[in-house]
Amino acid sequence: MKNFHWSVFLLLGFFFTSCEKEENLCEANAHPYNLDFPDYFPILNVPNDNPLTEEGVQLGRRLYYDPLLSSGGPNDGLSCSSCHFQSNSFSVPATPGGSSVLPHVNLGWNHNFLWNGKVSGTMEDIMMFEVQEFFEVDLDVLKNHGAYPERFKNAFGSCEITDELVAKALAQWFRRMKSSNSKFDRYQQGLEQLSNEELNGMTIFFTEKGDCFHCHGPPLFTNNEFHNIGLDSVYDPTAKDRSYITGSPYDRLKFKAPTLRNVELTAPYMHDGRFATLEEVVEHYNSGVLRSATVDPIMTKPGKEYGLQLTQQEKDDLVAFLKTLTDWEFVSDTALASPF
Amino acid sequence: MRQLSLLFLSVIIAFALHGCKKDELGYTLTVLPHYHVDGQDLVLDTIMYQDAAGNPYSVNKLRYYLSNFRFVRNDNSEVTVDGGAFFMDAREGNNITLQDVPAGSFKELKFNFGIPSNLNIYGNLPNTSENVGMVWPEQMGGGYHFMKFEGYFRSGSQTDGYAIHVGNNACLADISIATSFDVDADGSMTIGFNLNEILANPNTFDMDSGNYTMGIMPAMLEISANMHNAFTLEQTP
Repeated sequence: MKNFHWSVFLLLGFFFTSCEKEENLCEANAHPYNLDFPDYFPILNVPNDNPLTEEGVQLGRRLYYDPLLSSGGPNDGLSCSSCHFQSNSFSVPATPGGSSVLPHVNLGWNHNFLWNGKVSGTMEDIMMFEVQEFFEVDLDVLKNHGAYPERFKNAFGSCEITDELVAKALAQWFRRMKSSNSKFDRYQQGLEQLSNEELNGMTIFFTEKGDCFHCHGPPLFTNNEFHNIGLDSVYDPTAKDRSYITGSPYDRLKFKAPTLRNVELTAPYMHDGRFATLEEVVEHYNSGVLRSATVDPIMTKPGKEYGLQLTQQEKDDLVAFLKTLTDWEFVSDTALASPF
Repeated sequence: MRQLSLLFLSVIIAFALHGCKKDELGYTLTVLPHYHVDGQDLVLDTIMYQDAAGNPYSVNKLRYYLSNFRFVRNDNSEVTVDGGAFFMDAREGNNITLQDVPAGSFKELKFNFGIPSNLNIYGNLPNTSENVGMVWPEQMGGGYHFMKFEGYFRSGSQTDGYAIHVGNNACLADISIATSFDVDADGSMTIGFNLNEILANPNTFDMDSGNYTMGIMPAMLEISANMHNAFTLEQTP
């Protein structure tokens, strides 16, 4: 009887060992990824079920640059990088009459995405939108690929490739796409001086004289909200502004305030790309604001009813300051470039 | 038998220590804000209220800080329950949690509207997205906005936006609510916040004559003075 017991235990032991081996086939091989940024940046919220790992970030990077992401979908043949060029801070290069694409920079700190905030929430939420609605990713293409199944297994410990895991990998990569080494950042850290022109521009930016900071405050240089900055006075439903999403008439003519980090590289400007240069943008605020019911009160506050009324020198100074927000390391970093 | 006695003694001691712990560390109180306009529950994003100057208006954004919560005992001694600053957002409807609140009978609730000067320096509050979004530029004195109160108002047939922003240490308001309450258990208290009072008492703020306050010190001080009458203790612990 005693012997019988031992044999049962032995059998059970084999059974569990064999199960364990099968589970090991899908075990993750992921190593934590440490993302550094200055202490004046906001705390980066990373969901517990999608921590940054070296394998996850690198998988997201490949997916970002791989046209396989769109195989058979409405954007067949395109990857994220087809419209978001690193040299343009991951936005679309300026072309005559071209549209304006929001840059992929520091989006890990955002919670409203796209010009009208069609998607709100976490990076995982916006990436799920990209996977399911924008690219309509064909998972079979990834599953039958020579390398992706192994990469997903290593990153997430899964033998399956799902929409959720594709979104998670992309979310990790987007969190990695952070820019925090502009001349302004180095000035903030006491590592570099600004010229007199840039300092004057900074004062205009951060005081009521220019009042840029309310919507474009540091360190992200966007408040992640929606504003009517007086580009138009008549509501145009085809523009698909914020009211297209919320249905509220108080959201008409409003679009997301884009980040100004690397703004000198992200022309054309505004949601419809109507301005080709930063000088044109500044001139809009200076003398071109149009009134409407939803125009931001900052645009027409007491003393500024007819625009900022800056001198030519002040406008030049403001542009000079905006150019201090360019992070040349970010746009040339090979670690952010295509892995292919 | 001896072992049983020891076990019994241990249980008694554990209970006693547990009781001591509550007495020493106090209770947890959740402060629930109740946003209203002259008694009407706040509905965001719709022009449906009328301010003291007669302008119909809406509330689209209300973000602000309350800080330095103190309870005054019946013998006039003041207990600082929490000296920190709490970011509040009417749209999010977030609460405040006060921990280690001592037991006792109190006759007055005190707190600040705004952020005390020792915390009103950029970086002295945690760098959450909410706090970073309230930064007051160094070039204008530094620290954080105490309040962003924004929406739309009608003047005749015209609709315009308003942005009442308050900051600067001079605009810190010490709020005092003389209402008796007892703390003898974990619980909650509801603080009413009447938004019409921001624009009304003692200073009538007419948006039609100025729909923007940031950097305009006389206007910010008027709003700060009005905050004294904006809060009530609606439900005691």
